[in-house]
Order: sequence, then C-alpha cells, then structure tokens
Amino acid sequence: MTNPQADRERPGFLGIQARRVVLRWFVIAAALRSLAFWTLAILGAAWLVHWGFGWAVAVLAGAWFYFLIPVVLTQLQLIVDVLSCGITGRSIFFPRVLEMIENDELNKRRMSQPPRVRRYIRATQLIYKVAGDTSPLAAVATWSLIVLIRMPLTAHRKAIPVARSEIYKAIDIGHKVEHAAVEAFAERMLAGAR
Amino acid sequence: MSTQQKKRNGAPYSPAIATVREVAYPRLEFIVTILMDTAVILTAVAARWIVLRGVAVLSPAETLPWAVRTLEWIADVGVVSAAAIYTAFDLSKRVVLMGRSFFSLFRKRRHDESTS
Repeated sequence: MTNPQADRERPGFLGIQARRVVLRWFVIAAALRSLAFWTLAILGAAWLVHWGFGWAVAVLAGAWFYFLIPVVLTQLQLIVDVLSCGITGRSIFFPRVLEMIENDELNKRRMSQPPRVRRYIRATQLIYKVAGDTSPLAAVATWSLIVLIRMPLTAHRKAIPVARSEIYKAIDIGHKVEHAAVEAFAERMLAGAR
Repeated sequence: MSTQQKKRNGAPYSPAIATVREVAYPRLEFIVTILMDTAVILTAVAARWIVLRGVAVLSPAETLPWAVRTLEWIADVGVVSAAAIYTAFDLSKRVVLMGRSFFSLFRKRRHDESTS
C-alpha cells in the first residue's frame, strides 16, 4: 500500500543521491580539516623542537588539550550513542541534546550566568569550535551525528518507567494467553482425532 | 496524465514505473554506493599518504620518527577509520535493502504464479 502524501514529499532518485554525496562530503571534509590542522601543528612542533623551543611545544600542547578534552568527551558521547542504538535500539545521551535544543536551554542558561562568566564563554567559544573541528574524532563524531539525526525519534525517547508489579502482571497475563492458546489447539486436535 | 502529474495528484504509479522504483532503484543505488564509498576510501588513503610524505620531507631529521608516528596515528584514527566505518555501515545497509527488494520481488512473482 503506497502513501501518496509520502510519495509526493519524497525526493527523486537523483535528489537522494545528491543528498548522500553531501553527507559523505560532510564526513570526509571533517576528516581532512582535522588532518590538515594536525599536519601543520606537528610540523610546527617539529621545527620548534629543532630550534630548541621544546618547552613552548609542551605549553601549547597542554593548552590545546585543555580545550580539546571537553570537546572530545562530547564527541565520544555521540559515538557511544550510535553504538548503543545499534546494540540496544536506544540512545543514551542524545535525548538530552534534543531536549536542550527543543527548550532553547543553552541560551537560557547562558543568559542566567553572571556577566564575567558570559564574557569568558564568548571569548573562548571560537577556541572550542576550532578544537571541535580539529579533533581527531571529528569525522567519526560527524558521522555519528548524521546517523543519530536520521534515526526515528522513537530511538531517542526515554523508556517509560514501569513498576516491577506491572511487569509481573504483564508476564502473568502473557502466560494465561499462552495456556489458552495451547488448550484451544489441543481441543481442536482432539476433535479431529474423534 | 504525465508521471509528474500523477505524482502531484498522488495517483498510484503504473506497474512499469513501480517495478523500476522497487527493483531498478535499489540496484542502481547499490552501484552508486560502491562508487561513492570507493571515492571516500581513496580520498582518505590519498590524504594519509600525502600528509605523511609531506611531514617526512618537511620536518627536521631528528624529530622525524615521532612526527611521522604521531601523524600516522592521527590519520588512522581520524580519517581512515572514519572512512572505513562510514563505508562498512553504508554498504551493509545497501546489501540489506537489496536483499529485501529481491525477496519482495520473489514473493510477488510466486504470488502472481499461484493466482494466475
């Protein structure tokens, strides 16, 4: 049974292929951007060490990892979510991300901060953005985000909390249904044998 | 009525167009997928090779071993693994879709034979 409304909204064959090329480009561009950054950074570090500025490399690397760690942790959360969806069918962290987007929570939280904190956030925002774009996990995280966004919303809904007594009740009813089905089957078999 | 008009009006497709959509599109998509994924893998491997060659040529001799080793690790994690994961996921999805379309066609044919 075809759904005419869905058929009308669905892009054509070429449209779908173009969209797939764009998605691949997102992933490969993230990978290449990160690789280009690290190539330049390692070359720079190699020459600094060669010229006797090894301490500067250590300071810069320490500062960079300070900004990179929270970004890498966030990217790891996305990767773990995709793995979780693949294994259990449900995401762990992504529902919270969706909730934050829906409620505009980030802006609200930022506005509630004192001006000093807001200035710090504004000043370091670009560094965090660059750290996120140049992290070695950027490409895998981009792919994870694409997969998570394209998943049905049901995968991101929170599991409904069910009391243990209700689970036992459901199992009990299930057993009764099974018994009834077996009895009905046995009756039919006996009726056929008579 | 043209196909576009039919599409706009939500009219069902003719059997020929339906067959193209159900059978030919998944096969074509599979071929396109292989081409695109090959391009992704080749881009990743070429990028890895280029940057490693670049670092080997441009970095000073005494720092060369650790520079190349670090960049190799970053390229493997960031570029090659991303391309490999994407490709593996995409290809497996296409294989499942192809299999589904093949079995639906097989079932339809068997149903048509039994009813005719």
